[in-house]
Amino acid sequence: MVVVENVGKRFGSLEVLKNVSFRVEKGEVLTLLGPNGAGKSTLMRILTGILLPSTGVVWIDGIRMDSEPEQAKKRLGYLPEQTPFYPELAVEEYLRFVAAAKGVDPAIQKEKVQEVIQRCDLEEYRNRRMGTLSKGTLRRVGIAQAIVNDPSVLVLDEPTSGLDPSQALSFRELILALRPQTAIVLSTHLMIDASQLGTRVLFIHKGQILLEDTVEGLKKRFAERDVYQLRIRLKGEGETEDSILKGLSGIEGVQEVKAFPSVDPCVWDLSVCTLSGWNPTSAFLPLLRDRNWDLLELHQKTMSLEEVFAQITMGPEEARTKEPKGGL
Amino acid sequence: MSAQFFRALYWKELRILASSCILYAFFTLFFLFTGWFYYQGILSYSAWSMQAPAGTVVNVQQHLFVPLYSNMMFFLVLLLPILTMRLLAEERRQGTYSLLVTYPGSPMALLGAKYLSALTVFLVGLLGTGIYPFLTSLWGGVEWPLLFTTYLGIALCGSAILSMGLFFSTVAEHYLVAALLTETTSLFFWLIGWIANYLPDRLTQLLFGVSFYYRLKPFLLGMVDTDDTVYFLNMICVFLFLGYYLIYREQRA
Repeated sequence: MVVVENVGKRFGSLEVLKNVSFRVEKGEVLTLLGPNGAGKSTLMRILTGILLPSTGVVWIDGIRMDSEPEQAKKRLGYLPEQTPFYPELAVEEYLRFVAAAKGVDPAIQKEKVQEVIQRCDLEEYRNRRMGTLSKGTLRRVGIAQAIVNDPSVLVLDEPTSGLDPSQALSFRELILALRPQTAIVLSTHLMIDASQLGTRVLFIHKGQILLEDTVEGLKKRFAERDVYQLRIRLKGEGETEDSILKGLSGIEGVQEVKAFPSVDPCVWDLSVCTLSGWNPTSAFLPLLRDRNWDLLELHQKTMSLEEVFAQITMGPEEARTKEPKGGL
Repeated sequence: MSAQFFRALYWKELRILASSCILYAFFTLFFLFTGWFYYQGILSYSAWSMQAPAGTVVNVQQHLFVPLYSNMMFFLVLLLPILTMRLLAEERRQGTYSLLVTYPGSPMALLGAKYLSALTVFLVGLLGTGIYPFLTSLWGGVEWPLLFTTYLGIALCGSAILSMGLFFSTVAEHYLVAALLTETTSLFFWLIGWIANYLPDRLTQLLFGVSFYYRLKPFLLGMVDTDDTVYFLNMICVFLFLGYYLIYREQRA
């Protein structure tokens, strides 16, 4: 369990973190989100004991990081953004060194190293020098060194950055497998990591916590309007973009409609913004019947975490102007 | 906890040194030059022996070992920085330093393990030079107690240079910068005694006091002076403390 109490950090006159407090229990994944320079990396460095906070306290498993750093660090696993490595050492040799340096009981060191090698799928690389490994394999060695001491707190900085999609997927699976026995704090720019790994999200902006919520809670909180996407086939003669827009705009509750033609001139993709909680079927069906349109597809577009992120950091109006344009 | 961290880091350092060319370069250059110094020393010693009046014995310590070990120490001043240059500078460059400090070990254990690994290599090399007095003892009288003080002096002076090297490796961003800074500083401490000869008397005494060469000289002649021993031990402690302080301050930046 991690407890961060009123942590602040100053570098000279620059205040990088202001009064940050949160708690992560075993089995939880807390994702730190925020733009560059928000203070995420400084917070991670404080959590891992690389830096000491100017104010406040960090507790790792009930142990204060500032007064008993060695005890606290024994319960910690850390994966930095760039996987650091010793090019001269082989994977197994390196993991043995880390296990010993982290205070793993010498009697079970060999066993523990073997366990993480299997868990991180490093069997074929165990005798390879780290200088010859690919970035994805090094990332797995990085996570192996972080978990070799069975940490109760795992701090991961941009864990999937630089990995190809399949490597990122297996990496996420590995992190999810570690979740039940660990409190995980991760920092990422990738919203897919936050939505797939994080049980909670913490937005940091200009050194302060702007918002803390679950991923779903955040999306709901920011979904002040619903967006529906439709694909229709026109049958009537003389239907134009204007007539489509006019027809849809006339429905009560519809705020904004955009129409995008497809390759087939009779098929149109529509994006319809409505008031939150609006019922699409009862509203659309009469219009479809009247105009003799075939409904090929209808689905509600949920707000992505990217959009939530943009709204928080830029404000709703600015974020809306930067929304990508396009059809389905 | 720190003891386990210390041991792990110490062996890791030795392992990395052994797998890099640094260790081999160090031993090759060291034994090549000291072997050559010894060979030259033997030639000079035989020349003196031939020229000496009949019945007199030319002192081995004074005419063979003092110049040999004095040259050896000067060569070590140039060579020892390559053992320490990578210790922390390379960890920082590779980014492994930020991981090391998240492991359960104190800054003192970190510095201590690194220092001891370099010291081990140096002492192994120094022990290897025992072959020269051993070979000499096969045909001539070697005064072993005098040699013991010589080795003690060289070990102390070398340890002070290693401590200085570790400090500069903590400061420098690149290991070559660390090597250059150590080289320059230790050369300064070595040569300052010679420069002192050309300066006013009061300044001469002061500079003799900090000169590595003048502090080492009594050891080469078989004298163990507490003053000189404390001077070298002080140098070791001061540079280790400065390294510790840098790490401590960095954490509280």
